[in-house]
Amino acid sequence: MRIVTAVLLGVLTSTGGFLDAGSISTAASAGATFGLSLIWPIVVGTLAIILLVEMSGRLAAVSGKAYSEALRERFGFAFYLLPLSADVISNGFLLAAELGGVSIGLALLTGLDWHTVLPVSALLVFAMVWRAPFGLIEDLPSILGLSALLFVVAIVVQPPSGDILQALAPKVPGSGSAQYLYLVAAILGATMSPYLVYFYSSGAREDRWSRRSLRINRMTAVLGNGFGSLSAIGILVACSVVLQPRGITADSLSEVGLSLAAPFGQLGAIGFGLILFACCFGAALEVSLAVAYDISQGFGWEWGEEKKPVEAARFNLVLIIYIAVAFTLAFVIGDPLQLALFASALIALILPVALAPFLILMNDADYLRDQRNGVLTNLATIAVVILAFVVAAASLALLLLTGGGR
Amino acid sequence: MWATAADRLRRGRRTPPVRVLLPPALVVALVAACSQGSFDRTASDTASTLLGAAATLEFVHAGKATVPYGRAAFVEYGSRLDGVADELATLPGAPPRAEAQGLVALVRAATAVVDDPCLDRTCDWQRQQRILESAGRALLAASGGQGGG
Amino acid sequence: MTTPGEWPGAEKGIRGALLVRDILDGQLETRDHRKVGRVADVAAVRDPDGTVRAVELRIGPEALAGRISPRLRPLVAKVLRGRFDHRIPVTEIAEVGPTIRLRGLSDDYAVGQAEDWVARHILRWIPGSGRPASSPLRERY
Repeated sequence: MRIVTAVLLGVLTSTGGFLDAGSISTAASAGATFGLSLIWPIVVGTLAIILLVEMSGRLAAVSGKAYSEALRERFGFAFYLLPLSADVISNGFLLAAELGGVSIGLALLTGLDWHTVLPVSALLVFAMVWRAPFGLIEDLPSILGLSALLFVVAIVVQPPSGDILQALAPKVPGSGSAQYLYLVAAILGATMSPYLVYFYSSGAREDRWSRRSLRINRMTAVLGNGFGSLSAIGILVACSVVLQPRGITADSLSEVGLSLAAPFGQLGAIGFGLILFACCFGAALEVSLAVAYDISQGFGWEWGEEKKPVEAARFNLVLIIYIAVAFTLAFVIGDPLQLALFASALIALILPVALAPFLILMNDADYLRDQRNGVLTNLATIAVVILAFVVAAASLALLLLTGGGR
Repeated sequence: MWATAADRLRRGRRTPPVRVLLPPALVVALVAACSQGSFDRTASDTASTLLGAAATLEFVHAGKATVPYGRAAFVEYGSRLDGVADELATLPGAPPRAEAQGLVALVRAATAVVDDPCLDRTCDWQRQQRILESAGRALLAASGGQGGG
Repeated sequence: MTTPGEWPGAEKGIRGALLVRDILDGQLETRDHRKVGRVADVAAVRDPDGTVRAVELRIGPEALAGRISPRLRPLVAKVLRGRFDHRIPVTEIAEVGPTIRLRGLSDDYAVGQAEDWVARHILRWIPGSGRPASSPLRERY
């Protein structure tokens, strides 16, 4: 019974935790601009993140090392510095976008100016990472984030005119191909975000996973991310049905909410505010913690949410500084949706550096013992790493070509 | 004899610090590139915002969105429109002067609506909706985009 | 002077290389289970018989800078003047395993003080920072 509860909770939190400002923005822009034709990168990205999350959980459970710890110890400091610096920079923009998303969610519920709410959002995030136990950090925003499944219900209430299954086949349009490909890269970057790997493997260590947790790990990774991706697909379809015919390309988060207001009325509008708040809040916690874990584990400092702040002083100092910098970025740059799109494309650029080490780590007997990757898993990992390289190369060119996808 | 492990591992291999400087340099270049505007891009973005604002106004008055939602949404739309009217006519790819000035006038009128939207029944919200939609469709046409609805 | 043969996990014949590889970038943990950093560098000497012996663990930004580039180390040394760099004799190693377990407590090593400094000078002013587990040093705040 305890195992069933643990699995259920893991699946629920992964489902509710799937969406963030990046995946909401990219899915909405994709649906509003290109209709159903960009569902396939969401599916591909989901399969990839299932694999990556399962591997990072297995690494932590069997070796007792989180991903950053293993990176530093196995590859040395000079190598570790590259994914670290890329991670810190790209997640800075992403955290700024998440804080903006939290603020806009709260603003849509209250009618306040989101700029006024922004300091409150940053303080809320800080308060949670400062003192909340890890279980609450994992569970609360994700349970609230299950409200995102409202987008899946929206597909049933207002189904699209096209065939979703037929739209799964990749097909680059004649016009707007640069922007199409840019969104492909951004969707993959948003779905395969490395911060998920850092956070998940550290969470496995916080929860003291062992070999007995391997089944929970697999089910959480597969079912949680699988169900979670339905929300992202739901956003894409809803925006294609409501926004695309009106010429609205989802350039702001408030526009995205209209896709739920159309079928559900005021309930949909309120629901979107809640979804935005919950998903971006949960993601803000994960992104800030992922960076703090990455730095602290890499430099060998004390770390952990189960410890009092003074017992993991430098870990918590990193959290404070990072949230402050992201708040400043959000305040100065503004426009959370554009920030999220930019961050997702930036993340797509660094994917190879963040993910390639898996190929070596997951086949290292010193770490995984008898739980090393099988042939199929290795082939899938190679495919994901190759995909990451292709996406990174394309992302750079497309970012410059499209000037940030617009 | 070598002194430290770092010396030994580095023997015969130079490890320039470029790998540390590369990500920040890349980001600076990307941010600079993404900051460049063009008429088509700005016009289609602005069109989307104005059409979104028109739809929001309609939804609020049809009871499909709450007034707080509308209020917050228009603040976001206002941020997106900030400075557009001033720079639109001078962006690379802008149409001839007369046409550009016409579009600027439409954007200014639409921006005034976004800054003071009619979210209750005490004012003529349908006139505001018409202003937003006509500006949006004109910009969409000028940017070569395809309108809907 | 101790020899690599006395270290847990060391093997004959390839003592020096195995020892350095096992220790470099390893997590340092004190007897009271506190993480105090990672080994940034290992200072070693080669005996006349060819055996390589690690003598000192080095932790800190100067040692790390040397891992990135030889030109960076003197620059970092000039700026930081060795304030944040620490050396631990290999005789302090009790066990090499998933972590490098040291013989002493965290208060016995200067490298563990940075954590206390941050806690004492920065975090204590923020409500909810908590009181750590009892220790003569920590009881100050």
